Amino acid sequence: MDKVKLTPEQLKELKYFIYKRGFREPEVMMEILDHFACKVEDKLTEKPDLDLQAAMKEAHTEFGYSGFYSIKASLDVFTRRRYKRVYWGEVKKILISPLNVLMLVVIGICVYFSMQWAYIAGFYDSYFDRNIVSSFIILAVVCIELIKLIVLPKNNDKSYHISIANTVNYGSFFLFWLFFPSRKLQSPNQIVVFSVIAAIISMYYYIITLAHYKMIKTAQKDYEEFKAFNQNENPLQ
Amino acid sequence: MICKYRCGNIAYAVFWKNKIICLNLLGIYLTLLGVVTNMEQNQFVKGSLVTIIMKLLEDNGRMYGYEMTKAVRDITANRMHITEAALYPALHKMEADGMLTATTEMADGRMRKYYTLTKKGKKETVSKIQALKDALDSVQLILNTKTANG
Repeated sequence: MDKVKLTPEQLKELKYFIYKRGFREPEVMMEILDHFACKVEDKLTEKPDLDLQAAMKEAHTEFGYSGFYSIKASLDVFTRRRYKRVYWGEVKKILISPLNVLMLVVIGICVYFSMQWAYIAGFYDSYFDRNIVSSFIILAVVCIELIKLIVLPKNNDKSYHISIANTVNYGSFFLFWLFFPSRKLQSPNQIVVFSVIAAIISMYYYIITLAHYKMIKTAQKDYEEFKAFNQNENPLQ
Repeated sequence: MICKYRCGNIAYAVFWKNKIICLNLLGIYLTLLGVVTNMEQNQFVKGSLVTIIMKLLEDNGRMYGYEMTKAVRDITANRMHITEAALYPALHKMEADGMLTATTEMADGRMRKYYTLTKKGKKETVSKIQALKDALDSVQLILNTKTANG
């Protein structure tokens, strides 16, 4: 007996069946669709009098009690792992790139000496309860975070790659906010230690921000490639 | 009660109420201990799933997910089947570990992902198959030998 092949209209019904169950990202849907369609085709070949809806239900039951979720869960885990790998790869690249190392040294020295200068000269902002240089640095970081929001690819078109990549290393700003030293200091030793901490945190922020930016760019590239391959990106078309 | 059984350095499984809740790559060793009395064949397959996938890809060059499940069912005359919940995590993990590469093509009006063994994967296949064969030989030995205490 000839094997049944699904028509584009039938495939559309399959897509809608998957979509209705909450698997809406095109990347996830495409991962599920082929396996599901093959199962449905086999069902229709084995039992020619079966209608498409019944074949879909039978095929879906065979996926087990978690249905399509097992495929999505696995895809989530490994896509996230991929972007984590990209992220740490970028961190390594930054640490061995001469230009970035130079930038890190410049940032470290500038923050260290400006913090020391602010503490020693007594530039203390009593309104914000921190020294003025640390206020400026925190302001600069807030600006960078805003620029990141504007410049980084948004997830308006529900890109699965970008949404997963965004879950890798979020909250770097809050780490900066929590650990960046700003309180009033008296003894010279305290001033040296806290200036060193401020320099290290600033360098850390530079590294993670740049790595995060490059990782999101990779995610965007993956999404563009997916879109280019699958021109019909609307899951229901 | 949760029990963990370990054989050698590479095989272990965790049981809860006589049901397996975690099984490693070569969990096939477990039958050596006679611990798993009512384990279904499907669970048995899970333990050697990576080796099965590698063997299928070695023989066929490239395959897609459904083709693999169908091949296992056909070869074993429906006695074993690989579930999607086991197959896809294994495929994704092998891809992440650099054992497989995936290429996407349009087939029958939809996107299809074909998996192929990489060089590293091909090397691993030989050792994995050998390990599985050794384990099966050991099982055979135990099953065919009448053991007595003392």
